Amino acid sequence: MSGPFAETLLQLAGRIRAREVTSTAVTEACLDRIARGNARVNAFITVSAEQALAMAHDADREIALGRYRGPLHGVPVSFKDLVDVAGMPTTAASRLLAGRVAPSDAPVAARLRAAGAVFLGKTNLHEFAFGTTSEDSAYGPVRNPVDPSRSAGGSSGGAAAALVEGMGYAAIGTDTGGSIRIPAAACGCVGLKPTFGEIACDGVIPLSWSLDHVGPLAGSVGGARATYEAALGLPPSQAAPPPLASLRIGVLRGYFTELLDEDVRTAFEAVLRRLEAAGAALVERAVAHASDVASIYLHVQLPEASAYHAEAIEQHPDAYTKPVRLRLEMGRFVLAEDYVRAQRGALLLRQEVSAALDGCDALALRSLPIPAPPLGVDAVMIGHGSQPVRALMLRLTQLFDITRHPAISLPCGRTPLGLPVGLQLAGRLDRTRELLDVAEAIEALIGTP
Amino acid sequence: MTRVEAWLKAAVEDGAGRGLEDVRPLLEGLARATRALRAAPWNERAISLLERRPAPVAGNAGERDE
Repeated sequence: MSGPFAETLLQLAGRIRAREVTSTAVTEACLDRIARGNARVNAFITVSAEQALAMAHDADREIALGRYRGPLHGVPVSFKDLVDVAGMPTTAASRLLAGRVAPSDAPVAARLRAAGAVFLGKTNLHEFAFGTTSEDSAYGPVRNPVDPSRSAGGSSGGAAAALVEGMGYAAIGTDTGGSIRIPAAACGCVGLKPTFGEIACDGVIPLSWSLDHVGPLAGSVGGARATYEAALGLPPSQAAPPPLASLRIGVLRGYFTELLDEDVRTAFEAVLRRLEAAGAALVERAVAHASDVASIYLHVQLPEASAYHAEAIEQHPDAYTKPVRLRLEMGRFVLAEDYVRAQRGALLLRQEVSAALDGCDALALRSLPIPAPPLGVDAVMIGHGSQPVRALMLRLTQLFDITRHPAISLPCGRTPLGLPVGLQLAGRLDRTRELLDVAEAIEALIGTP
Repeated sequence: MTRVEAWLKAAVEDGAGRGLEDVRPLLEGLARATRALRAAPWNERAISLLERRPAPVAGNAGERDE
């Protein structure tokens, strides 16, 4: 293996701890990749080189004195530019917040600071997280590292693109309809949405309060786990992943396989065959009323987002990118009775997903029904018809934001054009670590990118 | 005129009145989603999940769209 993912976060952490490499050297290498490569992918809005090097020096000094804090100590990380990091701008990729500097760390940033991580800067995103392609940004679109004419996915597109380009070893993103898992799948890295509420959303600009999640992206499941545990202040997990032959995986079909690009279908089915050959038990599972997920999601997310922006959209409408402004305006028209209907539907779907998980270690489906779409297109051909890009990108991920179950995307192959394909796994509520165990076991079979 | 159609007409007019003609296709898409949401067969059963009361007796469930 070569390139930025030649070394996982945990492998790097081991070398830093053993003082085979310094945090300073690693951080300088990341900053060099940012300087040389950011113009190509536009992953970063703010790069804090001076602060990063100061943090790296501090990490090296502490480690030399034997004060090792854990796997994130001395490891360069980035934050989606919705997350407050003390002294850095939080722009939400919008002109509306230009010049706003965070006075203090969001709790997730404070935890990673306490874990000794090195902060590289703030990553680009779809404005106010209100999109799935990261192309509507006041700072220009994020470009897919694999093919810069394509979207990096969104809204945490910059976080994913940065990782794949070696601009850091972990990233913090947010996920409301899929905004960690979508770019992870589109760019070819791992993205974890924990159970709702596990990682505090304080100090993070909201999109939709009852759907927002904070979570990590990394080059491997182990790296995502280490970052998740650091974000919660938990000690690192020690247990080995379960044997594949002990796993029972519920494969979601029906609604989840009706609209699929054939290359994505092929890559996913190949993974399932490998899992079966390795001894995992695969069972078919369905989620009743899954076809209603999009209408439920719209009627929750739109009014919650519009309510947050109500004053700003009246006073500064032109400070938003036009597509985001129009969606916020649309949200103002959702009737209260339909919002309540949708919240009832969310509770029902939560029960249905929990029921589908009964007797399974995890549910498996694709992360995206299509590979990363070209930038600047609103619709793509899939099957025999044209479908809106936005709805397609959300189709397979938004369910688990609504139901709040933990879900993770990990790379599971490439299309013939070399575009990444993501495998999505969903687990039981409040059992994120168990989901990570399953994901690690599967990753060991199908490999890191 | 059904309730969703009346809502859509009012919303489009409001948007146009504020110079937001481009919001019309988004509102039309939202109207389709609203019809689907209201017509979903789980609505009566789901009432008890949020309000923690038994679902209303059939015939007392309130006005419905097509």
